[in-house]
Amino acid sequence: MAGRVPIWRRYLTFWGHDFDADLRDELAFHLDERARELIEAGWEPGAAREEARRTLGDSLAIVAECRRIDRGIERGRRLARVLTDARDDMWFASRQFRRYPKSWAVIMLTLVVGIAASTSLFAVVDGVLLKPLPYPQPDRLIRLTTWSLRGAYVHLRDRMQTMDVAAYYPAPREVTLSIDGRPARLSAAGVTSDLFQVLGVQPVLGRSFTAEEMRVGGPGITGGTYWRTYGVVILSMGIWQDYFGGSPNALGQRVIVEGVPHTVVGVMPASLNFPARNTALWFPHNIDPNALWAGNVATMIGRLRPGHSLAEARTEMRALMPTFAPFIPWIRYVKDYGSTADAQSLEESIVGNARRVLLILLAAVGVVLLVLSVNVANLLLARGVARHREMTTRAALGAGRARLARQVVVENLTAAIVSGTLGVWLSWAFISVLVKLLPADLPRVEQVRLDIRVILFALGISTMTGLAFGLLPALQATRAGRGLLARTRVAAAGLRERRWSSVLAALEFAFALVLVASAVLLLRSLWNLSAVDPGFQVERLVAARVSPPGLVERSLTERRLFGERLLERLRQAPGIESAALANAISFDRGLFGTVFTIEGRSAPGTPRPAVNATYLGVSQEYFATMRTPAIEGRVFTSVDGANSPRVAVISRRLARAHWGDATPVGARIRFPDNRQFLLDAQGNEPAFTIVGVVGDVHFANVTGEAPPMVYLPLDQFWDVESLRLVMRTVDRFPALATTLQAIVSEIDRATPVSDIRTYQSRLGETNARSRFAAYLLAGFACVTLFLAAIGTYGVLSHAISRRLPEIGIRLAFGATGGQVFGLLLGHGLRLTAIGVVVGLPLTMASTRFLTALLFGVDPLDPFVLAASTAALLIAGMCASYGPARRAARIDPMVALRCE
Amino acid sequence: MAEDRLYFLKGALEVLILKALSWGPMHGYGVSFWIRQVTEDALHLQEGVLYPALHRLEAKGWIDAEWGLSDNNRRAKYYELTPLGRKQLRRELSVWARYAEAVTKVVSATQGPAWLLRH
Repeated sequence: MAGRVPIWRRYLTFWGHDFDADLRDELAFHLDERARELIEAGWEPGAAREEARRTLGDSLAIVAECRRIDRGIERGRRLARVLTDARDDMWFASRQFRRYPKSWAVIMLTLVVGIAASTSLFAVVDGVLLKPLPYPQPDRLIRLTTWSLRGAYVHLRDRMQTMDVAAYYPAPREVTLSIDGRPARLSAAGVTSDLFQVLGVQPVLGRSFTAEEMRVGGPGITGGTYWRTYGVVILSMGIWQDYFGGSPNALGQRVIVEGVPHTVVGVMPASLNFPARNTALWFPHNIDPNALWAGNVATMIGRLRPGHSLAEARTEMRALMPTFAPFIPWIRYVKDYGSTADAQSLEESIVGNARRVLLILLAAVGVVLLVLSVNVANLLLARGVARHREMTTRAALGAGRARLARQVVVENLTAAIVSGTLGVWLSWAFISVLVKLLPADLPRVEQVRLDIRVILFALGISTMTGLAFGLLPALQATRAGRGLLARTRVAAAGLRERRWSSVLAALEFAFALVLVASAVLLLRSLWNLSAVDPGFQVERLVAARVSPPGLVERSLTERRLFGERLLERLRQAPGIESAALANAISFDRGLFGTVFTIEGRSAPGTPRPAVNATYLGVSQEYFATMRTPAIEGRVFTSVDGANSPRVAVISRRLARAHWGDATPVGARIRFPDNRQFLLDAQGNEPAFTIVGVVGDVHFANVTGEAPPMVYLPLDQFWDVESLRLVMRTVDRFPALATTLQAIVSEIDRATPVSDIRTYQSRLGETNARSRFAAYLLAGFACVTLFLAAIGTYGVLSHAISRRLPEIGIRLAFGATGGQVFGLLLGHGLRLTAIGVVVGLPLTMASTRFLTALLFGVDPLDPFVLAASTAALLIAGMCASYGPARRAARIDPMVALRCE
Repeated sequence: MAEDRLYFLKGALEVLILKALSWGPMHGYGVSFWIRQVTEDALHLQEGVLYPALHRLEAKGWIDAEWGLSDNNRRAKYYELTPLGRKQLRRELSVWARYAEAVTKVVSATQGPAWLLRH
């Protein structure tokens, strides 16, 4: 058969088949043959053709079907050809790796580490930022921020057209759950029952809250503040597994929450980590229609109706603001209240400013990867020079330029993909370490894991780096195709590559400068943060939470008794210098804003009669324990008891803002919004006399301004859900936790002590993100600088071996070793200097993205830029020193004989 | 009726083609001629269906196609069994024989219901 194939058919692959022509030929042949047969049988030629066509059938349909089948055949053949070629190239590549195992091992190791680092960071970014929330149609979930009192929620829920349902929940808090006598402190959230509906989450067992349970006075819990005698609770998957072993019998069981029996009515799936990541219990948060416009602010979320956008919801909510604002008693004191109303996507509100930190780190890791590629490209270029002879030989034997380039590309891609696969393995380890290092307040950390998306990312960047670093070597290989002189001297062939290598090494330094400067900026800012005076002495200060069950139900006297006995016992305990109680503490949640009026200032015509402030109830030892100095007047003493005249202490900032240089001591203030917490023994709403001014104290963070504070004596103050204990210890106190629990149990067996931590660690947490970013970026900067130094080292080593004869001649003609040393050191420093010149504008353009993370340092801080440049020059010097010294010690005779 | 026959033939056609080609490489017309001769035209084959079937067998890798010259010196596409095709033919033939035997046994069973005999 093969012998009968016309010669032109063999070149079909070059031209490709003309399927249609072939099909037409095939069918025409059939018709002709059939007609010939019929004519031989005695038919008329015309009738014979007609009959042939008839017996064949619909020729158009036949052609169409055959064409479809043939396309499939061709596709299969093309794929097979590509696969065969790729297999050949990869086999060849593997032979290359075996021939030069050491240099490839170095290249792949660099790649593996680089890919693993970027993959693990991507896993974090993916988990926190990119993955959608684990609820149906998560993009429709929004969060409303406004003066969200219960009334505002009811008002908006009933009136908004752009939103389907809205749910309302106060901030989650810790409660004591006790099942079979096993107590535990858990995060609990009071929620309206439509929360589950809004999120689209169904209980895995049991049910959600019923309308009856949501009703005030029903079996639920009223108001979210006071624990009644009986309630219902929904458990998280984790609690259900831990306490009930995942048994369906859990439904209807009695559990004790804050000393009050509750019935388990449902279990939520593990995917529901809302409102907080560790929320373990959900209670009905009922809304008393008679108390809509008092109390604290809570969070409101909703689900957009189909066809409506976030912007529409925002506009509608702002338009509705004036319809309910007049109901809020203190809103008239708030300037420009409408401007605070906003709607944002729920995801955005959860992720918040973590986005910026993570994106910056991802960009940084991208730079590391880039420098890594450049470095590998440089190594390969050097190798390419060595392989020049091999390539020219191949070219001489007939390999085309494209074929040579493809071989090099496949070689590098194979290396990259093998490294990528290993990198994914390594990143698995990296991720588990990284998750532990992540700042504790980073949202959605539980979503961080090595999944298919992350693996695809790793393979994607492997391929991209493979292509990136393989580009120059591939171009280099195609040039070998042109150089037909297989005996070209290697030194001459390497000239162009040497120039490229130098450019690449300088480029590495430029990128390194960006990272080094960013890292120095962040470290500088961290240092500034730690230097801020928080307004109290941090050393040896410990805080803990003490939660007597049913605290809010107890009378002021009962509570004072408990506090007095506790503080008395602590005073006697060895190792505790002083101790105090408060209803909230610095660097913790649970601080509430309030509004007060100043007596004698609410006369008509006075602008802004009321003052915004944060208020705090503290025991008399508080200021001494915290070492917050009194500036004017006095702090609380034992005379400020439950039945004494009401007194207050304010912070310096508040005093300066409203009394200027005059003294506020003696002024009387009232709290129109919080009157229910502040009634005196006779049930009257009293005025508080300011008795002193203390120094400013930072509360949420040290970066902002210290908040305006009003301190009230704890004994005259109702608004307490759990007590905070602050203690100054004598020394390091390892057994503090057990001692403390023992002391508290002596007084009240059912009272748990939790959250025992030093202020050092509390303060540390507030800048955990900055620290995380700073340390990680510093790590990246070191790696990049190291890579750049290696690059320069490589370039110089290469240069010496090429310039050996030249150096020999110089030395022979009387140059000293020192001069040769200087020559090469100069070469290395020139590369670094070029890197700095290119890198400086690059750095100045990039550091402004850090602005939001910086504290007390300008992104263009000249000191930081100078220090970073110095670090670069030192690295360049270190990299050049070795090769330069080696060159200086060369024996001129050996060098000359070399050529 | 023609539709029925076509449906029935679709599976059988592949076996017929493989069998035809087992004698040696043949062009499409050759295959159709062979089928008509051997079956004495009992199947009333619409010759057009042959070509998609040939191309389909080629896609399956059971036959190979190559252009050559016919006995009267015209360009014709010749089909040839591949080793895979031979193996397939052997398998199909044994299945076919058993199948045909079974069907024959059923349709020629000695007794049938009365209405079958009315024709």
